[in-house]
Amino acid sequence: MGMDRRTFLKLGGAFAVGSILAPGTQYLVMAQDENSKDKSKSKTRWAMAVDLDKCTGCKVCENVCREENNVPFYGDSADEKRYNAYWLRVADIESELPGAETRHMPIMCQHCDDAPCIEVCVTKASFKRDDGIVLVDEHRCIGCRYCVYACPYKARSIIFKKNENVTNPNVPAMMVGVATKCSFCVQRIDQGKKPACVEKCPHEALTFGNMNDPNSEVAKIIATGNVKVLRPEKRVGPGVFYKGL
Amino acid sequence: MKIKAIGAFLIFAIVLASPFLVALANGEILKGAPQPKLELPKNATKCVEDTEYMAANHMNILKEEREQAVRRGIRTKKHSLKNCFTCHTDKSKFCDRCHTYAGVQPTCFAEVGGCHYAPTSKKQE
Ligand code: HEC
Ligand code: HEC
Repeated sequence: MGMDRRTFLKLGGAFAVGSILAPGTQYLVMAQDENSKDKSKSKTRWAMAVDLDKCTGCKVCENVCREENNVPFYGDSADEKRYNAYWLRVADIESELPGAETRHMPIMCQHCDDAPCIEVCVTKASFKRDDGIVLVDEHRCIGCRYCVYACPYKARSIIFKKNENVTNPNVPAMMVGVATKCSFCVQRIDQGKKPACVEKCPHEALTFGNMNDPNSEVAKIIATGNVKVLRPEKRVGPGVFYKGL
Repeated sequence: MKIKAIGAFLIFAIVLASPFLVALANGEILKGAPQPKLELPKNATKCVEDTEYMAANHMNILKEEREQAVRRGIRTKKHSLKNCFTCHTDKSKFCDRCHTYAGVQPTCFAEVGGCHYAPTSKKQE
């Protein structure tokens, strides 16, 4: 029994078409996988909303942040000041207009969607967790400072000196010579708590939550539409939203 | 002439081997190399994994745990560094004794560049 010439050619053709298409389906599957990792589609995206109308510039957040995360502070004199690291700083904005009051604005890492600090990091020490938190792996950081210059918000500091004043023994002290920045108090988030600054703000100016959950407080504030992000022209997709800017 | 040479060689060989012979006479060789004296925990009889596995691989366990906790936020209690010290309460009498013996200096606790605390270390006081 033999195969006639016609059937043979048909089968051969089908086989050729199949072998061309098969890898294509592979790519389709891969593309789907890529999409499922898309941050905008991940279930959690931690975000913060700051109500500048409620902020009085009391700097409680700055201090609780230092206490919670062992952020080194050496003093206020000109010599010591340049070594101070900041995770959160409260900027005082003075207006030149007559009679205008001074506004205060807490600025921390904005945990951007497309963070420039991650892009420039040479060792991949800066990275983004699936829930939108941008972190520095201090074990990997070599202190090259690229990220410090890349950040549009000046949110990063370098640790210059050992911190002798450890306030929270549950959080590791900071390594000397690495970049550091606000982590949204990642150790507290993993325990289901809110960041220290949000919890301790006496004026309830800070709100924290999952932006992708439409029922969360943050999502509701963002949905009102009267929030702004800092430096929107940079198109980095910040996760911190300011009301009353 | 030949006998002289052999005698000289024998004396040379004995002098060369003398430390070994002395140790053999003391019985030190049969005992093996001195072992570090580790203070084992009193509140437990078993480590988080088999003892032998821990002695050989605890650094890999700790590094894996670190990677998971820092990068993915997966924090387990079992393999965390803090958990070690609930049983091995005195780092200087357990971890350090072995590390000094083996000439290992984990940077985690180092005086310069170290960030982590053990319950007995000065940093926490
Ligand atoms: C539940 C209490 C407990 C915890 C938690 C614990 N250990 Fe142990 N570990 C022990 C005990 C008990 C032994 C001694 C076991 C034996 O003698 O068979 C031991 C033995 C060891 C040894 C082997 C010592 C030797 O004699 O060779 C190492 C290394 C070690 N532990 C490291 C660790 C590390 C690292 C951690 C943290 C991840 C840890 N242990 C957590 C109880 C504990
Ligand atoms: C049985 C002896 C022994 C004991 C006990 C021991 N270690 Fe180790 N440890 C070693 C050795 C040996 C190495 C080095 C292994 C290597 O470099 O391959 C090491 C390496 C490490 C490292 C990795 C260091 C690096 O720079 O890569 C860490 C972290 C560590 N040990 C933590 C601990 C802690 C914490 C304890 C106490 C709970 C402990 N060890 C107890 C023998 C021990």
